[in-house]
Amino acid sequence: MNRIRRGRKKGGAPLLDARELRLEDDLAQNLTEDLVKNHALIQDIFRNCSDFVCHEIVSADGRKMLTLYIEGLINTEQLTQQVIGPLQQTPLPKHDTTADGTITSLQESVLPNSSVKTVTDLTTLTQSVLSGHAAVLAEGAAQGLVVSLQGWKPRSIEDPQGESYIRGPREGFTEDIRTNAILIRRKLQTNRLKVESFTIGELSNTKVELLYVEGIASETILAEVRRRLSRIQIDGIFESGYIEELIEDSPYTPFPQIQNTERPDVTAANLLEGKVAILVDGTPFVLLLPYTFWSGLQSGEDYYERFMISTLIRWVRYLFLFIALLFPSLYVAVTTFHQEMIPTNLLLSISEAREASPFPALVEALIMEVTFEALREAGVRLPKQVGSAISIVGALVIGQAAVQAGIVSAPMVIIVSLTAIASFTIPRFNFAVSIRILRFPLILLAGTLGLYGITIGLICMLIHLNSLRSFGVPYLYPVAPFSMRDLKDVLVRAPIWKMTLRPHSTAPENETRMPSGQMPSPDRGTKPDRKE
Amino acid sequence: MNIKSAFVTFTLLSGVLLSGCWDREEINDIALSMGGGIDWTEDEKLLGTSLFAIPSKVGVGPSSGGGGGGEGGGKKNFFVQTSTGENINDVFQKQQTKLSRRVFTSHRRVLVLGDRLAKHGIKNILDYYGRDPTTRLRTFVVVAKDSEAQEILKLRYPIERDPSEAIREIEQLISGTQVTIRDLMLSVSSEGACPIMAAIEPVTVGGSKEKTLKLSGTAVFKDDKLAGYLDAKETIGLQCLTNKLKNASLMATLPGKQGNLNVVGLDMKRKLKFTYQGDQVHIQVDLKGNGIINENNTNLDLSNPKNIQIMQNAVQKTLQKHIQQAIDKAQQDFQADMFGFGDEIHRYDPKRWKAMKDRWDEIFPKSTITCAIQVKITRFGMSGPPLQLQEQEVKTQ
Amino acid sequence: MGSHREQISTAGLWSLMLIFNVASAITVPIGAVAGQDVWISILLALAAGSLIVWTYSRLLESHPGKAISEIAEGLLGNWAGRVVGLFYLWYSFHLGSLVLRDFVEFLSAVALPRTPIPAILFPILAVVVWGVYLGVEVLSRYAQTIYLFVIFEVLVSSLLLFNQFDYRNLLPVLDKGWSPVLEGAIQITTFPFGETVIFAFIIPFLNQTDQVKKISLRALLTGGALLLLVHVRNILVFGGLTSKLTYPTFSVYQYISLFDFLDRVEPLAIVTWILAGYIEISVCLFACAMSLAHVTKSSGYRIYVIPLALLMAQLSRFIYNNHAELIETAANAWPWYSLPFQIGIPLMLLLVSVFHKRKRTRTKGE
Repeated sequence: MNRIRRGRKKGGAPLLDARELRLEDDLAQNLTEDLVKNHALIQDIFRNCSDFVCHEIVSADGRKMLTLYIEGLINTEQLTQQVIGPLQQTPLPKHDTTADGTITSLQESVLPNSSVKTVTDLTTLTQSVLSGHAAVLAEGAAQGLVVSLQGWKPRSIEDPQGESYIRGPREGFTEDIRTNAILIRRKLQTNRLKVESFTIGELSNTKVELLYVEGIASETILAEVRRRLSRIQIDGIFESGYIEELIEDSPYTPFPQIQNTERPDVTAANLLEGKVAILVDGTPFVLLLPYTFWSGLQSGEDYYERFMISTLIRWVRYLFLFIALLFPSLYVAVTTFHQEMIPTNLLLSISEAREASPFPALVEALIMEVTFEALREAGVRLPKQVGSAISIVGALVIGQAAVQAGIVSAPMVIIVSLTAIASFTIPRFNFAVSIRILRFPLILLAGTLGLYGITIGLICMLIHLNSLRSFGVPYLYPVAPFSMRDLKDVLVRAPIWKMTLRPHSTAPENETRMPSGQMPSPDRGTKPDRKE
Repeated sequence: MNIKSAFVTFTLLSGVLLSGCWDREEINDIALSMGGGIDWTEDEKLLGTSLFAIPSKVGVGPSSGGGGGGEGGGKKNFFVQTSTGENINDVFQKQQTKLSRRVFTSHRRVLVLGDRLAKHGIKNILDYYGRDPTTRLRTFVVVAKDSEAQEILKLRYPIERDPSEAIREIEQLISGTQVTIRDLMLSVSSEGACPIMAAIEPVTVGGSKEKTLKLSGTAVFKDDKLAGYLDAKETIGLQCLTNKLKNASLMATLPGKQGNLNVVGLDMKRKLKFTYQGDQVHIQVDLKGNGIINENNTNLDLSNPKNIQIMQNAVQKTLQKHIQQAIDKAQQDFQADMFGFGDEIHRYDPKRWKAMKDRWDEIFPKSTITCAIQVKITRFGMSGPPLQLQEQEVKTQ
Repeated sequence: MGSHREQISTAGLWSLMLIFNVASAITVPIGAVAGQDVWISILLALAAGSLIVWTYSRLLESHPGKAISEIAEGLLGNWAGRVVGLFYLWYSFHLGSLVLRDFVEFLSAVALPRTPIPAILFPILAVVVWGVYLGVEVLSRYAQTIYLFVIFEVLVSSLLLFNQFDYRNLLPVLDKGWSPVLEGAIQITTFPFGETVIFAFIIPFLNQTDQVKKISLRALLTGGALLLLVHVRNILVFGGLTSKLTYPTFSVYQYISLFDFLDRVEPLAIVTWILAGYIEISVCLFACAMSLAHVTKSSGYRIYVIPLALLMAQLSRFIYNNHAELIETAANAWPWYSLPFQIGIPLMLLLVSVFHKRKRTRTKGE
């Protein structure tokens, strides 16, 4: 790893200044047999780090030793019991007093803990100490030992906040990458679930893991993901959003091209479809790719409910997608350009309501939509206790007072609230946001060219969507390019026993998910199949 | 990538900047014309009447309901504008000068033609309605029987929003001669049919001065000029022969003062057969249909099939009478083929039609039309014999 | 964009051709001279159109990956290739201007009567340029996204009009004899069916080169069926008025009224017109730019897109003065003017190509 980092630095722009370069030189050195020199080097590396502890002990046979760790990052109790105790009490076998033998026998007989590893260079040693290991250096040995003694407690596994389901597992990812990987591993207990590890971020040294099921995930997509991950150069990664923005296909688009999820079950199911997951240490949001337009309209719960219900719900979502996107602009277009297109009685109602309103419909729509966005934003940011106040104020101010005062017309309030409800039916937050943003240009187009403007806007959107790809998969797949087979999970939610094949776009090499003909019936298996 | 985003911005900007919103018009800047009427004045000019909704008084929203118990009496939720001119656009141009909002005609669903205009001829005014993109071909057309269109449109019709709405609803509810601009254009331009349309007549409400309106039979045109009116019974005859009698109600009298009965849901299907003898056309009309008895003012017990037979005969006879009246009017009074028989010949025997179409106006009045009617009574309501009669009064046989 | 070669799938080509066939022809009257016999004209035109389509797709199938001007170059030499390229450059350019004018004319008539023409013209032109710039692959996928909407919309509107159908409107059959019907058939053959000849610049991008004939004939038949449905529906509703109306389909949509509530659905007609017309204009512009690139031997067509689009917009504005002229040209001049492009050149090239092949096999045999 050291080699990679050094190598990249030569090619890339200098990320570190002179003082840091001296540190780099310290880090580049190997451990020596001289404990005092080692001590000095390490002290130099960790200078001004008050949370760094360097503790000198004497072993059972009188040898000087150093234990190094970051305070709080390791469990001190375990350190005393499992490292310092044995070192002070168990003498080394006599014949192993040679320099190299010391460490080996320490590892073998004194500290027979599986997580103990030998290190020879300072870089690894530093890295290990920083990631929650305790290091032990012994007099006369050019090697050190690191023991994993993680002492800080990750947040416990909780119901995911952003993606809570009525039916489905109640566990969500946490900030700890190990926990997250284990959560997935527990769902997919197979050696074919592969975990490839990357460290990204010059200073944050964030652990990033690439998960996929070997034999299902497409090799071309995998190679592409590896390539894009390994070319990232940045000082720090604090959320998977950083990774997302650094590896996506088209940056200039409102549409997300990578899915994020907090749910291990969703991740596991997607892995089985041939998708690839990227875990980032420090965030519960796992990235899933490739992503298509339709994934934005699917919820994991669709697969847990009965297929008819889920199909119906999906259709409702498609309908509301259109409402969320088009309703305000259609209202503006129809009331200011094409009054002939409103049914007569409805037009009379609208015209009565609009009779006194001071703003043109376009301005009214913009004001109301912006107000709604503000309300929503305020509601999200505020603590829960205050959040309810915002909704009351919003409902009273916008819903009632504004209409009664004649500042906005009642139909517009209905339009805006229906649009708001519609935008909340979109299950993926990042997708819903992009739809909400697109509403505004559409309103403007509707206000200038009416229905023609809206349609032009729609064509723009369709052309743009059709030009997008996520890791080689066309964004609107399986509608365009058309695939009848994969439509069964888009147009409807086919019953589980019908979805015998994996999507062709993500799992072209291994498509069979299960043998066909598993439609349940009381007779299945007891009688010979009628066809045979 | 840059070019792509540049194009998006370009499109959006060109949309926003180029446009001065030429077609943009707020709802409160248009005057919604709900109905229109055309009259022919005595000094030979067109008089156009438009009925506009007053949005603040339409009375659907919460703001208008404020009055609570307030009687709707004084409130008028529409107003009427008239002006005269040489042609329709001239009329509307002049009307516009009296209005603070732009006239918006796309929601005009009823067009009333004045009696005098109908007699004068309507061909000259129709072009506007076929050309104007805001006029819907589905607009209903009616004739103001013995009155003027403006009189009809100025009426107050209490249950509906305005008289035009009343006309539309009445047409949809009971008239078998719903005629839209499409139908009018088709029949005016056709070689073998005369335009017909419903006639609307203002009537006074029992004793009071207030007037409302009623559907009063059918107006029949010869070419484009009003030839005369049919009353309700003749209209039934007309509808029988034009295959338009659907769900009708008919009163029939039994012979020999036995009383009367009423049939509803009367649907008649026609079949035409033409035979030709030189210039003489013989038209055989076979009518078959069924209906339901909903009133029986005789002492006959309807649970007896024989009595049903008597009833059917009475219904058939009544229909026959209505049809004959209609035929007589068409052949003798109007000399106009309001049944569209010429069109039928054109459709099924185009060669013969070619030979006779120029003389159809002479041939039609001389042609013989015979009718064979078969009405089946399928149901007779909730009771067999009349419930109010004592048993000995009921005639079962 | 960039390294990978653009490719369209069979389904993509099919939907592009389908939309191209029906885009304006479902709204504009076709074969109006035939009156209520337009269905006969459409059927006859389908047969004649199949011949046209068969000819050029046979030619393109035997020279996979090559556009018609490249084929001419291969068969008759550099000079002939350029001439053929120039012919189609003009044809697609002219066609594009006509379609563009039609597009704007309809919108101006029914939706934006007081908006100046440039304000309608430039937004669509900008989107067309963008789409053509992104390439034929994106266009074909766009067609795949909307074709279901177009078909669905036609079916639903016909269903809503069911209570207005009068089957006697189709009678009498052949009232005025065969000549108007044949005249209508010729008009329909050249517009819209024969116009698909400009796909000679798009078909080379198809990924399955042996499917050309099958796909283009299938697209023609589907499009023909759709047109048949639409125009028979219009006749059934409007009878003798249909051939007198400027936009019978739009008027038919205005006529829809069900339960006093499901009415005023003409936005559907407008939206379909825009969504589908977009394809028609884009395909013309694409073919135009491609043929210019062939003529000038440039490596890419993209640099020509914007200038050609602007020229097209200019031509579309003074190509005719009013609608009457358009109808007049479309009825009388257009069929004879376009036949050389639609069948003449492809047939000639096909014959030459067959002759060449035969000669080659004969020399080989000896």
